[in-house]
Amino acid sequence: MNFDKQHIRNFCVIAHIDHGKSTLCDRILEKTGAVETRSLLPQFLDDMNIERERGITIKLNAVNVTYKAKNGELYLFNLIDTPGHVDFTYEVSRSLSACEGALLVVDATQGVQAQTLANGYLAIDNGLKIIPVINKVDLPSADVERCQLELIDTLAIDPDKCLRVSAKTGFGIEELLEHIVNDLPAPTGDENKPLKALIFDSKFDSYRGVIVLLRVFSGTVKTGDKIRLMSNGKVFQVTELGIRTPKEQKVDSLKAGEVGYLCASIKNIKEVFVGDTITLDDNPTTSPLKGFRKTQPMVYAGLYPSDNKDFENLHNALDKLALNDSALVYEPETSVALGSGFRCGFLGLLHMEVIQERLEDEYDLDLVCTAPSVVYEVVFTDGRHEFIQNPADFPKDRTKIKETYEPFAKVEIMTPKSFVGNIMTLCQNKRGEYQNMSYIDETRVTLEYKMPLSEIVFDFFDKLKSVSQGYASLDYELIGYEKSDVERMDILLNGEGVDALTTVVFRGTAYQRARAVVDKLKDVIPRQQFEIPVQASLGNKVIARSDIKAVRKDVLAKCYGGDITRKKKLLEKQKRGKKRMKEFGKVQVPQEAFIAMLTVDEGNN
Amino acid sequence: MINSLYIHIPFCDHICAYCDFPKQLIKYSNTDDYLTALIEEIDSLNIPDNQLRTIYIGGGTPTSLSLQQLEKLLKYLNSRFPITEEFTIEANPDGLTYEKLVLLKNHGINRISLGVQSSSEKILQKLGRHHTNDDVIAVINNIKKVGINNLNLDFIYGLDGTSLNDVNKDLQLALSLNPQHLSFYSLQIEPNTFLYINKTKTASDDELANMYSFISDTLEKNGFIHYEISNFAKPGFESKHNLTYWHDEQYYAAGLGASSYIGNLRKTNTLSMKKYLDKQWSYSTETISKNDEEFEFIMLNLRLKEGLSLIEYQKRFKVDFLKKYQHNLIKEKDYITIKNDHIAVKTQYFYILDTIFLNLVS
Repeated sequence: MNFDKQHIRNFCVIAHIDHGKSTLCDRILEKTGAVETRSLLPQFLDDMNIERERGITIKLNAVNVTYKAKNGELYLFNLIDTPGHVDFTYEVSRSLSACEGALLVVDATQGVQAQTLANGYLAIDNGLKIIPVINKVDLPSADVERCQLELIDTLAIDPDKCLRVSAKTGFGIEELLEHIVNDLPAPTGDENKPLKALIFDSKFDSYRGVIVLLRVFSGTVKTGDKIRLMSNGKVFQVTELGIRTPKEQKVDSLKAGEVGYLCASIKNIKEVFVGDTITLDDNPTTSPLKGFRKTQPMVYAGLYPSDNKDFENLHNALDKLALNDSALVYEPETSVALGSGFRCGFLGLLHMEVIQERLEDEYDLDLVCTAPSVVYEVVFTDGRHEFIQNPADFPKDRTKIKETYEPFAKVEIMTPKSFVGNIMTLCQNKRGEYQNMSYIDETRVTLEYKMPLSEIVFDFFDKLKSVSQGYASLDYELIGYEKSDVERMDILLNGEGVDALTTVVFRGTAYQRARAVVDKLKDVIPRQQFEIPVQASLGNKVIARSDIKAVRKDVLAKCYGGDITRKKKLLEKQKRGKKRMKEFGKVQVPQEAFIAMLTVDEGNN
Repeated sequence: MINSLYIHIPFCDHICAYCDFPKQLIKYSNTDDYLTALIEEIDSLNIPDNQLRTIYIGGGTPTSLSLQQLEKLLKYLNSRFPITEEFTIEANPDGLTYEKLVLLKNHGINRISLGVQSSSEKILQKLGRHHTNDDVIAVINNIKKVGINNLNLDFIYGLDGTSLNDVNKDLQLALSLNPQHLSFYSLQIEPNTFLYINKTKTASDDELANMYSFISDTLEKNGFIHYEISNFAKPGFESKHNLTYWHDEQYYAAGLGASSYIGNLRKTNTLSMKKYLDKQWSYSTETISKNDEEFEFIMLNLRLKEGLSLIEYQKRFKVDFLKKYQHNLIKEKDYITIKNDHIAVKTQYFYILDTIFLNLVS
């Protein structure tokens, strides 16, 4: 099948979590006949288990389907799915820039939400034409009018342009397909110019190497061509080109305006960067596509198998995950408390959670994950420099430290103006340095702060959502290291230090943090047979303490013939819970304790 | 050899607020058909002659059956199992008439377990009980009069808002009635019960723990042995039937929802009265693997003051308990005793048995 550019529509679907994006995609696939109804698994595009479970799309995906419009002509739709979380803002922006249009889905029962805005702004920034889709209009609690008002207030979307749809029942889908044909622009670009193609996703296949998803902006790429990846100059020969309908279907070439996949015997996914430009080696373009940046791990955390015997299994599992995830980095490390494990780098907290869950679900590993941390730079009095990824490696002895540096980020927060006061207070409490405030329109404001990345990693995103009722959205960009007065804080359980609970804290708020951490640990560590003091110390000085009282009651009053099975099941469940706990001296610590370090409420915002 | 038989009578005059046993209101029940099906089920168990040492008729409220029905059941049991060392029936103070007591005595019942639950009218009302302290005293006088001299009283403590003072009153009532056996259960609020639906709470763990030690101390001072987590007995009056469970020995069972343990199978009967009357008795069968058996053996035997018999353990599992759990035993040494070939959790730590047990076997 060959389509001229006038009959191609490249678009994506963007939405807040759970607003029905994937169901809508399914319905579009079904109506265009790409997938037969009976073979349609719910939410076809989300092909990872974990995505189905959490209802969010993490890995990108793209399908090419054909649609016969009412004007009698056949169109090729390239539907690109996008992930929905702040960690992946960059990936979203790249997949958006592969499109000319976006369906912005809003749940009629929920209205406009933070990611509706964040993704909506991203789409507008990328110059996309938006088709607003109000979904779930079949539900009794649907409030279409409210959605329309919110859309006009926040994104200046004409209420008359909003389509009413129920992805569940199929209502309004055909009308939507017509709007895709009539409202979204066809791609432009000269197929005779030098090749310029955008990589918006990649995954690893053990037979064909890295499979690159790409959008061609100008020129043509053919099987057998020598291509060059512009960010690193690597050259490969194209072995296969194709589109996904959603079954893979080989083609000989991909031309300007088209979306498809490419294989070129690329062995290592780390050589392929989302956002990079592909060109031809013998006829290269002079200017790569704009907006490329290498994603770098922002957050490091230790991942340890609960059972040390699983170390090799964890190693293998990480190797396999990294094949498809160029953002994941890891290297072995050892903890006194936790044994052998890996220090892993992630794009952000969600990325970390997703990796952890995939390791547990897909590779059946029981993991302990330490609190995430940024990389600190320490300058010693003897002039030595060190970058410290693991807080437990941070020097205890302050007298040997000349100065310390930590990464700072430029933070942009978009918010309806009624939350500006709350957000400014929050940012100040997080050591944010005010930079700028600008009005986007009468109701919306962009706040700009400079802030330590460690504070963003800590719990900033959750706090931001809560002080803005979910409306504020966040973007941040690293701007480099700056001097900062940070210090190592140790945690002692029953008098013994637990290296995996060590964190690096800002001296100005160390006391508050220490108090919050010991209180939180007191709550998440279950009572044991004896009282356990929980202490936080700076250097060798204890600055906060909280005691876990001894357990007083843990027994089933009745256990007769009919109770035994139930009682056994209850205890076996507890036993499994215990297995997931780590023992420090006599104290059993659940995994939540390591993450709990992150969610302490310092009560100051 | 299987020495014990449990029989379930799922009928009650009233439904108590805390009860999650299989039961139904007797006035809406087809009790005659139930007895017919029950007797047929017991027959189907093919219990060898002269093998049973204990029979326990529980409920529900077995004594809510009519005189004629009780007579029919007991006559059958007497003819089938003429020699029974311990023959217990559960009863409530309301409705246990003198005539019924005479009948029980004449048919070999030698132990009665009476649901007293509380000495406080207010608490009794909250628990959905329909008797008074006077009823309790009158019934116990009659029990003694007919010559049944192995009596257990059940109590429940720990409703939210109750105090040591309430527990003390229960203890004083219990001691004044001079029973041979006492059960004090800390209130458990089970799903689907009236208390659960009404979001009733128990006292806090700290309060419950204080009540528990108070009960244990008081009863031990008054000549009772705290021989199981919730059970107290004058020497020689420990419940033989219930020891079957705690020793993890096998038992037969019959009746709606009843569970038996025979060979390596634990069978649980249907909870549907309709199915039961249609003689589709069995509902589920769980195969107890050797690992399950070991887990249960330890879990159950540690409920006893006497603890777990190391010799019995070695016989059943062909390994040395002390060797197998050496590492954990050292960690838990403050909480356990090892003597006379038994390992036991110290009584003062009974109330955190599950913690200790799991630390031992983990």
